[in-house]
Amino acid sequence: MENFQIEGENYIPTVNFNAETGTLEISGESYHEYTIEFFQPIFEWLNTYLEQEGRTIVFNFRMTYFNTSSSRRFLEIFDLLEDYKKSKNGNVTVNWYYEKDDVDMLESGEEYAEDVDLAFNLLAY
Amino acid sequence: MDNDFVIYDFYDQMRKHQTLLAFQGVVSQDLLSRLASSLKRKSSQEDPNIGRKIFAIFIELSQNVSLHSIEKSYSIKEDKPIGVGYLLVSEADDHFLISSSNLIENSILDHVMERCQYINSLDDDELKDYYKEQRRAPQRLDKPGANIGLIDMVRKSNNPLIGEAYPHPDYPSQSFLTITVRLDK
Repeated sequence: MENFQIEGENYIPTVNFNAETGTLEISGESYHEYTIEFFQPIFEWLNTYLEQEGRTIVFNFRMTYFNTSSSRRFLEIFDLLEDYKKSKNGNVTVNWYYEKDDVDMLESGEEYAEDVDLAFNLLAY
Repeated sequence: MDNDFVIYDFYDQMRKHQTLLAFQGVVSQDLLSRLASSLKRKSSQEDPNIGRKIFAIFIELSQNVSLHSIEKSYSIKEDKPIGVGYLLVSEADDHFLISSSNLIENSILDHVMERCQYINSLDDDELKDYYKEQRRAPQRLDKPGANIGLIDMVRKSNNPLIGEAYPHPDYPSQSFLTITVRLDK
């Protein structure tokens, strides 16, 4: 399967999904106003990737900012991963990175970790 | 422009209120990105957390205007009608004020004001629960927004929302809505 990439700019995050290694990463700022449209190809790729059972996935979130609209899309990604773990024997780890003094970003990670049943690492940098 | 529009008065009011940014018009996504980044740079010097919070609140307010203002302007670049409104950021000794204004139908105004009041009545734990509950709620039909922007701004600022409405002088079914968020330094 092909890798998936989006080059980040302004309000668009950088996306790097490596199909071979299972390292999926999203980073930078995400505040597109129409996140349903923007995230659609991301979900299409993920849905295809998650058809195969038993993959080991490391999902890295290295966001410096995301708007509330993106916040919904992230929750949908976590739901997808949780479902994959439960129904397709997936091995999923989420690494949530935050700048060490960014309390709001840490809190966002903690709240996602509470909302879904996934292994979450909260990592300061 | 009518002769009775006094630009100096406009300037004078902005000067007195230490206005960092005043904008009227269509905020395209590219423009928002430039305005917000410049605001973040200016306000991050003393405390990067303040810079981040202003950036976040400014973006949420601005996107509310783009999505919800009933005064629209068609953007060729984005191939969509975009809401027109006003954005204002000012600085005092111990706080910043970030506000957005736009025209709204009165039928929706009551709902927005009630929502602000309700959000303002919640404590930190209740705000967190409400935020999570609303984020889990199904996406509203034909509305691209997440419906959690107002809650998010109160959580980020630790201050209540200040909602004010003024009846439109010409159109009785419309009002001019201003939402202001105070961010303490």
